Amino acid sequence: MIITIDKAIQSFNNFQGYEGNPPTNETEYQNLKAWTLNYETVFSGTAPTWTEVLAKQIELQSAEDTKCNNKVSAYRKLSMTDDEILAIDSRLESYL
Amino acid sequence: MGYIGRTPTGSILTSADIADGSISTAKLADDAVDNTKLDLADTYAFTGTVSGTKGLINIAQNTSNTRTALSNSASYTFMSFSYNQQKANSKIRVDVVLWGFGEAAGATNIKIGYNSTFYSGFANMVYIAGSYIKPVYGHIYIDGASSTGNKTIQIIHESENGAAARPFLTWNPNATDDARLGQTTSYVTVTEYDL
Repeated sequence: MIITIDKAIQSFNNFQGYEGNPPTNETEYQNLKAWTLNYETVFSGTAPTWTEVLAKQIELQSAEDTKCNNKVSAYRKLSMTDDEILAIDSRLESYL
Repeated sequence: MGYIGRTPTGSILTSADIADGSISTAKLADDAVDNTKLDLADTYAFTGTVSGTKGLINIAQNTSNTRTALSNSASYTFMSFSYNQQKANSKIRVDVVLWGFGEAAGATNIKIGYNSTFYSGFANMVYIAGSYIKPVYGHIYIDGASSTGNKTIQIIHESENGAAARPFLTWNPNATDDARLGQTTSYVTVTEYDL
């Protein structure tokens, strides 16, 4: 399952909210518009750098991959077929 | 032969003897024009205030279609706008539909505010497991304020116990969240009645 850049941004504890589409590069990230109805800035205090956001995305993706692989491994120990595993959780298809 | 008094008409008066537009309002007795004298099938374009009628007074809508990435927080405001209440002590119905995307809290609390009075438990999220589209919806039907004019309507997420939460990851999702989506629009419809 894909960890989006939004999930990486939202995982930082000081994230407050932004309006618009997810950033695809550093310039777009630095120009994110705060959700001004509630907050003056996208992050409270110091915002993580674009590099830190990308690193967080990789970290979260790795953790997600590990979790999904563990699920598949557990199902395999129960001698389940791929079809049976997908019947339980179709989101595991890329991990079979 | 002479006579006393006004000169009699030479013949019976007909409508042709009365000039168009010559009968003043004062010449009509009060309540003389009843509904049988009005063409009820005609179209009437009133431009002033019509009072004494019952039913729908006004309807207004506020929308938001700005995609917004949400944080995990105990409280924030989704929408805040003014509604111009037309009649004192009217009945007000506020319908709320918010669109969101992504797996987030399993439960939270949504409040609808009207003129600084807040109503909890009338609207809430529908939890759906998985990263898909999900709504917040509900409505209130309340007594309006005792005065006319602008009243603030607010749609607020606020956890009852103060815990950090969010009904979804993204508000007003679009194709960047799921390629099958168009830009979604959240809306609040205000209907005012005189009942």
